[in-house]
Amino acid sequence: MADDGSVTTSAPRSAGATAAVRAYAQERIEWRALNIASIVFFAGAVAFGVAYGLKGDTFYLRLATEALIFGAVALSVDILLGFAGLLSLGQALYFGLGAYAGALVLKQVSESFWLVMGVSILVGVLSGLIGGLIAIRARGVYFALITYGLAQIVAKVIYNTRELGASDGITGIPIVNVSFGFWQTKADNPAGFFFVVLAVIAIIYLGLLYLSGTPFGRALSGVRINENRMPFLGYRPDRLKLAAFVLASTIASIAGGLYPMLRGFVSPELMYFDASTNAIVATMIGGTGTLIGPLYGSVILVFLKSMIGTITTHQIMVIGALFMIVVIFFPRGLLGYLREIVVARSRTKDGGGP
Amino acid sequence: MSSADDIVLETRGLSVNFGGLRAVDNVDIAVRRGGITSIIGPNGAGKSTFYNLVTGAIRPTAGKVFLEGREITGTPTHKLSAMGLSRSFQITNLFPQSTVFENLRLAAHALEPWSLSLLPVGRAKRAEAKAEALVERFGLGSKATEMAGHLSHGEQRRLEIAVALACDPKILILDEPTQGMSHTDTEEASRMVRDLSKEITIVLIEHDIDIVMDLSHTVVVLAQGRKLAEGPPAAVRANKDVQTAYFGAH
Ligand SMILES: Nc1ncnc2c1ncn2[C@@H]1O[C@H](COP(=O)(O)OP(=O)(O)OP(=O)(O)O)[C@@H](O)[C@H]1O
Ligand SMILES: [Mg+2]
Repeated sequence: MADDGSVTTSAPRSAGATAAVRAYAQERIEWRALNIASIVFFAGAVAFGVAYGLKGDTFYLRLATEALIFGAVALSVDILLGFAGLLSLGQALYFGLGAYAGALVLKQVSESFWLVMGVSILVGVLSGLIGGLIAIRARGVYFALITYGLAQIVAKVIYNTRELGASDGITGIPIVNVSFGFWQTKADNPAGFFFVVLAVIAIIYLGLLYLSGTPFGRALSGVRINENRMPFLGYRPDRLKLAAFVLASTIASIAGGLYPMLRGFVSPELMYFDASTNAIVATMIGGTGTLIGPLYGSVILVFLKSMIGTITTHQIMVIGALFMIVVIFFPRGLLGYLREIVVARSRTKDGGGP
Repeated sequence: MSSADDIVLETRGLSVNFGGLRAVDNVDIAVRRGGITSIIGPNGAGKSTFYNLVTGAIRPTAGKVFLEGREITGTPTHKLSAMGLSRSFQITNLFPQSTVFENLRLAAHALEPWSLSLLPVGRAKRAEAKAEALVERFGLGSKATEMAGHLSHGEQRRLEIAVALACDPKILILDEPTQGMSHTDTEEASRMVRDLSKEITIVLIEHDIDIVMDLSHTVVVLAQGRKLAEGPPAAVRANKDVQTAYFGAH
């Protein structure tokens, strides 16, 4: 083959390593920064939980728990946008459905944490199948508009349904006991419930991290990068997109199921456009396609909002400005930027010689 | 070995209308197993449209397509690669933000069983081995970890063909594989296509008649959607109708 003699800036080439070995090595480098960031995140969260738990704090622990719950919604946005390249403007719909389902279960069926988790998974799968089958027929902007429309319609229907508390939502949700067998806590124990939510989010995060390294995860990236070529290889982009949609709605719904346990109420606002855009903003601030980024983004967003809220009532303006700054200066988000730096470093280091 | 009636791909009365325009008009073509069959014609002759009809990207207005005797008219595109029909694109159609290796691994994995799709990628050894073999065969070994979008034009055209081969096709249809290539790259690609044709049946769609002359055993000429001539290269070149329609229009 004619070699054009151009300089390769590829990852480490140990002599004789196969293309696959080299390709996997490079992928590991790309994830290295993100993996470190995720260890820092979860270790930091544990340290925070212990320290503030010992202090007997309530406010910050509850705020952090909320940040983690919204972080899961951001993760669900990242599956769609970062993996499959689908922008959903209605992710709060599935969060809200999970929250209402959780509230109803706790109030009317049983005060069981595990039952709520089971029901919210079921609700997420079913509503995701319906929403997905409707939305993925359309592409690009039209897909985004359909997800937006679906969320608005359902929010309005709930707003007008007296049995669901209409505009007031559902209040007076009992305090749940969470039991893992060897350890148990109550939803009104700020540190205890923080750790419960942290565990749920960690499981979701690790599950998605695993998926990103499977042929299924790679096929979703294929859809994002060049959907049109996929059928010619033998893939079905429509099926892959539906699978991503259902996965995302299920995660959002699980997050929703945790919400009434934390706050003791649910209301139609949970499904509003604002809630959907918050998840997108958190994802983009943290770094689309990085998985850990959306969790950082959500923590930043929730704490900033709370801090700004004590100074000014114009939170939205400040958040909007922050969002624009990130998009202009760090278009790949904070973690996306960090990843680029680490990858560039490793290239110059390894490029020097074997 | 191949006999004259061992037909891999066949079209009967294939036609499509775009509004009033009959872009492909009643075309019968039989592609013999092995070697290279070329389809040539001036710009706008209907070559790419014919190709899209055969590969399921467009539905015909009339007519049928057969792959090894089985009718495949209207078969969804994603099923054709499993049936042994693959295609490359006139305009490079890769995954530019993925590495060269990942482009090939993704293509090679498409036909693997579902059970493997939720295990780590490294566990799908067959797809991995296939991708490795293609990387080496197409001289992309030193570029395996480069983004496909960062390759030179010639390398991208090579990868384009390698990706199309990842499903182990029986028949590969190439739409102007040398489009936009330099002279040396074109020669290189021609040699590659000739090598490939020893293993699988190739249909080469070309605009440039000179490229196909010493490569193919059969040349089909399309003009204004119709089949104008068909036969060995020398005979086709000598054909009066071809000379007026094809070379006249050149
Ligand atoms: N989707 C379409 N809608 C309407 N007309 C079309 C469409 N696709 C192709 N055509 C027309 O059909 C005719 C055949 O086009 P086609 O692209 O098949 O030609 P071609 O032989 O591949 O030409 P080239 O050598 O330029 O690639 C042209 O007149 C073209 O304008
Ligand atoms: Mg063409």
